[in-house]
Amino acid sequence: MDQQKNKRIEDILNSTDGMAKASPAPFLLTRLYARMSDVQKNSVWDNMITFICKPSVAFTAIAIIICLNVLILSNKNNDIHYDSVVQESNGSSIDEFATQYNSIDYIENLAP
Amino acid sequence: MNQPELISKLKIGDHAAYSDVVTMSQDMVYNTALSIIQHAEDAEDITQEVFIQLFRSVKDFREESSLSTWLYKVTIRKALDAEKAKNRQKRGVLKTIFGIKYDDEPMHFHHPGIQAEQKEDSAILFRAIKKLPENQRIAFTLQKMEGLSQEKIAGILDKSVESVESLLSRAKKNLREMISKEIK
Repeated sequence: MDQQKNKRIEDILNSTDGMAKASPAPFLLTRLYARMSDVQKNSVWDNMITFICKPSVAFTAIAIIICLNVLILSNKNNDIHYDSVVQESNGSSIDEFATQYNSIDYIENLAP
Repeated sequence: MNQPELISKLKIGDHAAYSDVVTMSQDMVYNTALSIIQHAEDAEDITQEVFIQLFRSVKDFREESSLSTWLYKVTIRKALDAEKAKNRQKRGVLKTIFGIKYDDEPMHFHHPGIQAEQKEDSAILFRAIKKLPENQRIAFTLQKMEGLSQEKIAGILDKSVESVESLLSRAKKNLREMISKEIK
């Protein structure tokens, strides 16, 4: 029984003996040249995409975008603060003008 | 044409030399890829990629090894990469997340060069080969399917002849065990 099984195993192990070589589909060279010309056509875009997808380039780009956002936001905050200061100072000058106007009116209406 | 002459012609972009290399080596590259990946269309793609790589990289070829050793190396690397990519695709993200078990059982493969009466036995052999550890599988495939010597295999795998010998004996032992389980 064991001998039979061993023989069967050996038969299976040797089943590829005398195997003929397989060949790829015909016109491999033509297909190769066609594929290479396609690759050359796309190579500029491929190179650009490969460059953009590099981790160092991608992370640097993200860092620059974040820095720009922070700069823009901080500038905006400064502008808001300046506007409120200007508004505040404008308000106080109007009050001063009103007070002065009232005091002039008061002086003019005084009886001699 | 000897190898240095051929390589120097390839390096200057001689199309006739390139055609000669493709014609001479296409069966070797295709058969190696086919024996590893066990899928005709994938082997065809790998064969094309290997020759495109040759066209692009021949300028950097340092002639430390023969052109055939370099072609074997590139073919094996590309075939293993393609196989890994295929396995990743099969597993899929959702299957990994939801824990659906991936069926790792190799498909039935019938090599076109096998005689009809050996097809069933060779399918069992190919299925068992696919389950071997990577180095054992490559060493066994190169010896059995390509008929390469242990010295040549050692050159391709960048290993000593002794370690190739050990890989081959372990491969045969493992194959015997796997086949024994399958036919009981």
